[in-house]
Amino acid sequence: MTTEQIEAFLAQAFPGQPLPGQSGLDAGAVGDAERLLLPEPQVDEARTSRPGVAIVPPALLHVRSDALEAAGIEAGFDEDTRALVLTASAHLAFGLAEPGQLRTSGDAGGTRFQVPTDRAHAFGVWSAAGPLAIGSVGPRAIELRVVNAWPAPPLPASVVIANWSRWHATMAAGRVARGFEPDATEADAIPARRWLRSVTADQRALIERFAIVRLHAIESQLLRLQEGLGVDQQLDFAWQSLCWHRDDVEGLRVLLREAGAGQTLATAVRGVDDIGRAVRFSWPSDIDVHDERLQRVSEADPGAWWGSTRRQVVWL
Amino acid sequence: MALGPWCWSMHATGAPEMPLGVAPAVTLRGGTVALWALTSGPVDSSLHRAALGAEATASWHAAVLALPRSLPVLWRDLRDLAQHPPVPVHLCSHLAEPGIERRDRVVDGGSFGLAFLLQLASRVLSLPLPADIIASVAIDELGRTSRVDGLYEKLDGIATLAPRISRALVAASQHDEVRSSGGRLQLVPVRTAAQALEVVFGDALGIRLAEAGSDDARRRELVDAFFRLALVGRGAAVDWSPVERGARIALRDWPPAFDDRYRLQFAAGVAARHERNAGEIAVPGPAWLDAQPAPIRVGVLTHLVQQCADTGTPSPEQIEPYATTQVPKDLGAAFVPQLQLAGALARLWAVTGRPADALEMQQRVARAFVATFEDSQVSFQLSEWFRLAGALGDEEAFARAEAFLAKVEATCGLTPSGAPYVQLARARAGIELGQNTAETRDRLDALSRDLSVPAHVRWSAARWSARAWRRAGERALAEERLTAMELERSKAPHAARYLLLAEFDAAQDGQGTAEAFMDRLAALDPGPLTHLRQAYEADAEIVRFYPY
Repeated sequence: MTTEQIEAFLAQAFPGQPLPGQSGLDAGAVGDAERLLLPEPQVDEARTSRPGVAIVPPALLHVRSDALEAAGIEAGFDEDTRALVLTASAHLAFGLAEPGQLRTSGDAGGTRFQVPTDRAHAFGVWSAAGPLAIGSVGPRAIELRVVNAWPAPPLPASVVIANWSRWHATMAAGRVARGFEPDATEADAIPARRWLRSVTADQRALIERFAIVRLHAIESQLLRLQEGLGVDQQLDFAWQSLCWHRDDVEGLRVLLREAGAGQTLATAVRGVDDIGRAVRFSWPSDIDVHDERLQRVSEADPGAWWGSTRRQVVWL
Repeated sequence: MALGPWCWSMHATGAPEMPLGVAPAVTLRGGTVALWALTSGPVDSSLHRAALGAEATASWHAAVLALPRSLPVLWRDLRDLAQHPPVPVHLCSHLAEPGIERRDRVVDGGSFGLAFLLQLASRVLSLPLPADIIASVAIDELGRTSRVDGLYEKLDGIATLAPRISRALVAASQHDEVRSSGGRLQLVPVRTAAQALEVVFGDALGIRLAEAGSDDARRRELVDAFFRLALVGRGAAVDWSPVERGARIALRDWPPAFDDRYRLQFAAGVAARHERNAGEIAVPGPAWLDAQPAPIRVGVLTHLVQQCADTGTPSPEQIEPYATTQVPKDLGAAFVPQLQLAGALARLWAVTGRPADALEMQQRVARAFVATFEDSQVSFQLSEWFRLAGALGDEEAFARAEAFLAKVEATCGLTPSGAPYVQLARARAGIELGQNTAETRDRLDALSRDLSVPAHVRWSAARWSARAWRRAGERALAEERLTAMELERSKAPHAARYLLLAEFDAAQDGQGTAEAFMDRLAALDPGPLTHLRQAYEADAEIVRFYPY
């Protein structure tokens, strides 16, 4: 999809939203494209298959889409119907839109949809608060992009990194607002803290949704550690990454709280923190996880389980 | 999940035990890392299975051939088992990047090689694999390991999918590039399938071998297998350390019988010589020797003479007089084993102060091989012919060697495995005879970089290249080669020997000193150095006739 096609599609599918280039759905709100190659029949299969070797009909194939995952939507691929199957839990309900179909806030209430891949077409995934992702089906692949449909936060130039996504910028705003960003001043924190007061309730709801999804990922990783399931890196790196993610969510929680929002996120955070504390409580003493950021976390909130392991967590 | 414990949580109770004849394996296709169980047992029809593609089937056949070459001996017939390759059963998948899972119905490629071999070994030895280990290594028919594609992604997938796997076997040649990518996995580099079997089964292999000796008929078969392996020659096994270990276990644990004991001692000694220029073999009495069929007797004597030359034991006085009687005066009337014995005697003479006799004998043996159309045997003799011509400063012998080489190349040529030895000997002889040409230096440089030739040939080529460049006045280029050797020293067996020789060369050319050189060299290679130090006084003479 070209930028023009994306903007036209969003304008058509979400007529209630500001137009591209205005305060809401600017080009920076749309993430990079990821390309999911459609499964092709395996030519070798017929040549090498032997009588008596029964091949079990496949269940739903696993799909990894970072764009959909960020929006809290799981994907699978049904080989029989050749459709992308999208699902989500009830509190992350969503809907599908195609060009020409008008979608308005409050219209999204499903938890399972199928996107056929037997014809080329574009589609959008949206929540009651606005768009979450857009996609297009081609002859060989599905292209997906996450949509962070809220305006860019006010960040000092010293903090901004080129090619940052809207999501990265939003998390940076959380760090600036809390005084955790080394390259930002105290004065920079004020506009960051006030930023979400100036956006719409739907846009705050979208940020909260993405934050909750991130929190679920943290929860799932904590449970993997707690249950002794595998992590793909050494434990110290895995824990450091988990702590940073938790701290990112903390920044978003602060931003939303400053705008009088984020109650659902705050409730969800409490549950995940219970697990985090339990894991941290039994953390092996010989695995040291420490850096400047985690040190700041420990200093700012001695009860935070995601701080430096060199500091005792104060169990409140 | 019932096929093995790999994907079970570390804390879960009730994970299945490792069954016999099941090995985990991993594939990468597109961005999908899939974990499979290779099994020959019955498979639940609800599980997703794959067929093996052409390359994977070839890899299975390589594993079948490599297993007996990687174990000291086998006590179970492989033929039936080899007819039925294992079936890959899909366990779980991980997507390394955004995409749609590729659930293969056909798995292909060479990366299952070592996993196939371990699965087969588990069946043959009736030993389950440890639950914490997986292999992603290609192997050839000789059990030599090689790299696989997508290893970084595979390791990432294993770490995510299989909490109970904590060790991954990787090819030694690929270890450096993934050393920092193992994450929580311990990466175990393996050079050969024999090494992998040692890592995987450890002492259990020895215990099985010891148990096998309790049956008289089987024990006799196994002793025969050890003895045959030792007689066949260095190429019969890629890695001789398991042969030595196996023979020593048998010597320790099996009931004593004189003939069995001698043949096992012989196998252990030969294996130690092939592996590290060590090992002792007693000289059997004339009665034992006379009782052997002639080709066996001559074969045993050939090994004893080589053992004497390379390790210093038995002494030349103990073995040479009898061995000499077994070589016809007219080599035109000799059979191949007798020619091999003659070549071994010349090798001994070359390190015991009789290089001119050795040169003469190697020329005769080389000609006799060619006369009997055994051209494939000639590379060792021709290498020695060149080397000794250079060491003795015998330009006429060098010219004859050149003419002989041209003749061999005009007929059927040298064998691919023998050619690098001849090229190296020819180049070093050229340098010693003052024919230090650009072509010679280029040839040595090319050899030193050619990963397909044995490591000690590459290292010797690097040493001679440095010497040649220094003598050509290009000290910077010589230093460059020495630095490269120094950087690579940890990767090659015997590296210290060639670095020490290069240090000595530099000292001879007026660059630095090689302190306590001869003692250090003798500590590395006591066999030939004992002979040479008895034959010569000057260090330079000793190094001149040192074969490496």
